[in-house]
Amino acid sequence: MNRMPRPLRSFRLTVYSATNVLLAPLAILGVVVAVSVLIVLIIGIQSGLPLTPEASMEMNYNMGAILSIPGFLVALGALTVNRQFATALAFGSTRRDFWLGSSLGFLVVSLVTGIGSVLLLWLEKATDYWFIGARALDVFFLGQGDPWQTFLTITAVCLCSLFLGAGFGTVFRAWGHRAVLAAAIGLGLVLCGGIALTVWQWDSWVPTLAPLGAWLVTIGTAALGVIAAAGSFVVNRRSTI
Amino acid sequence: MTEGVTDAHRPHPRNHHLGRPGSTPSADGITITGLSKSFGRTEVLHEIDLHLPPDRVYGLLGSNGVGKTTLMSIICHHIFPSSGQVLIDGQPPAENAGVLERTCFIHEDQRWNDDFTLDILLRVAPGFFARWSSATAENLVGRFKLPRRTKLKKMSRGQRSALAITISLASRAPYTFLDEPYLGLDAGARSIFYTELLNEISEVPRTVIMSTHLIDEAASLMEDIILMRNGRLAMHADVDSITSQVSIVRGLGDDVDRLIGGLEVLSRQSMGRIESAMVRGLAGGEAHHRADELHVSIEPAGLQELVAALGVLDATPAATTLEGAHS
Repeated sequence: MNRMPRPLRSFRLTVYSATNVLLAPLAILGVVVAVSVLIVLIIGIQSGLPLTPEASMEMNYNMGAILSIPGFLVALGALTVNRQFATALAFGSTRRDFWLGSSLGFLVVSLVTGIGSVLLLWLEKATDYWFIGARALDVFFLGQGDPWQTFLTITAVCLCSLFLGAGFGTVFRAWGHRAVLAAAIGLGLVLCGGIALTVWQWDSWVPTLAPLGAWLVTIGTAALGVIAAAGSFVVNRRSTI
Repeated sequence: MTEGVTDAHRPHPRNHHLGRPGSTPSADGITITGLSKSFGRTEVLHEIDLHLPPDRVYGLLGSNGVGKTTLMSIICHHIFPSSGQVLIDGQPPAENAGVLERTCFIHEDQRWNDDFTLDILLRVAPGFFARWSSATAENLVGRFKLPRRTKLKKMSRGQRSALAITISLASRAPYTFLDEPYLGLDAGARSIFYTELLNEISEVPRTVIMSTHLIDEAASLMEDIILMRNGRLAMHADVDSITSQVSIVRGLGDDVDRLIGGLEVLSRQSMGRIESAMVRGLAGGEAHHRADELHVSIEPAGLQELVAALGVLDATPAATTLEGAHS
């Protein structure tokens, strides 16, 4: 008699393969490192290798690690709620258990990627920036070499991307592509409103926000992730197959 | 009739009620009350009232677009009703984990993950079903010759149907829904399906609701038929009850008329001087004796012919009702 907790059934459905689900984001981070190294190698043709510390610091604002992940994970989140949702319901799951199970899957994917990013950061530092002064993870937006900030930022970016994908995927499944377009426009307007509000209140907010530095990226993506998670939960309850 | 499987060879579901192991005496079956469903302005189901006692095999019949899949989807809470109520074992299925985990409904056009193979599916599916049978799954995979490492999206229509049958039967879900299960299956594979379905429900009884167009071929599987027309329930009847009341009489027109005089004629066809009439109420040795004298044949009516005669599969309203119909 099977007594597996119900949400774990959908979790296994979401994280069905270590290679395809867990390791893919790590592979993307690896590609980011490889591209960064390649760029430095090309620069080195002119400047010589390894780069000087000053030249290496020019890569301090490299956002490759942050910007490369969302594309894959948004797609993974959207696919999960489309295909795995249909499978979970066919196998007798409730929408609530599917959401809990797939969210747990998202969390595990994000944590594994976060831990992987810390390992890569450690390797980057241990090899003196891949032996040539190439920076991919020891950068400003990931906390300038702080492993906790790197871990939390990458984990937050992953969770945010997966839940955004899940949210839009669920909207598509429930109401079609027009609703997705409307939701995307709505989200864009909300973000623009937030930026407008920030600009408007610049003088009073900057003294508060500026000391946060790169933590703003972590906090911002985490906040967006929470909103996306809540949104995906709400629309998931009304979605059909 | 399916090649390789004849009525004589098939164990009949009706023979497996007594002493069925694993029965769930507390099960109340499925009760549907005043169920309607509209998509926009199009009403797909209209005021369906239906009670389906447990551990029986139901054939859900009707032409394309009458709402068979919609009805099954609402029962399993895959889509939401516009009005009305569904109860499974006395409880509404909406977000009811205890009820829904007793169902298995793989849609005819089921969407699977693009990366999924049969091996992956057989790894994750058992977690969902309390009575999952790996032996059944392996047996069916072997009999249908399903490829284990081919991505499901690359499978042929027949293979996808065989896959759905494999998962559905191996799930041993107390409420198993089969949505046009034989689509794309060749005669041999259909024969395997019919045989294995009967074996499975003999071993572990369950409620099976199967939508189908192949009425005669699947007739011996069904204990009850649910006939739908234009989103409405046209008939719910016990197969034995309705077919035993109806006969087909064939012979020269005048002789047929002499034999069936006064009986209710459900349908009539003629080919030259030969008449074929489907009549109700022709039974007993005397009728057969008189038929012999008139050189007229009396044969039992097939379910397909009966359903067609009742006008359920076309737009013509049914001209009559038969005893044994539940609603």
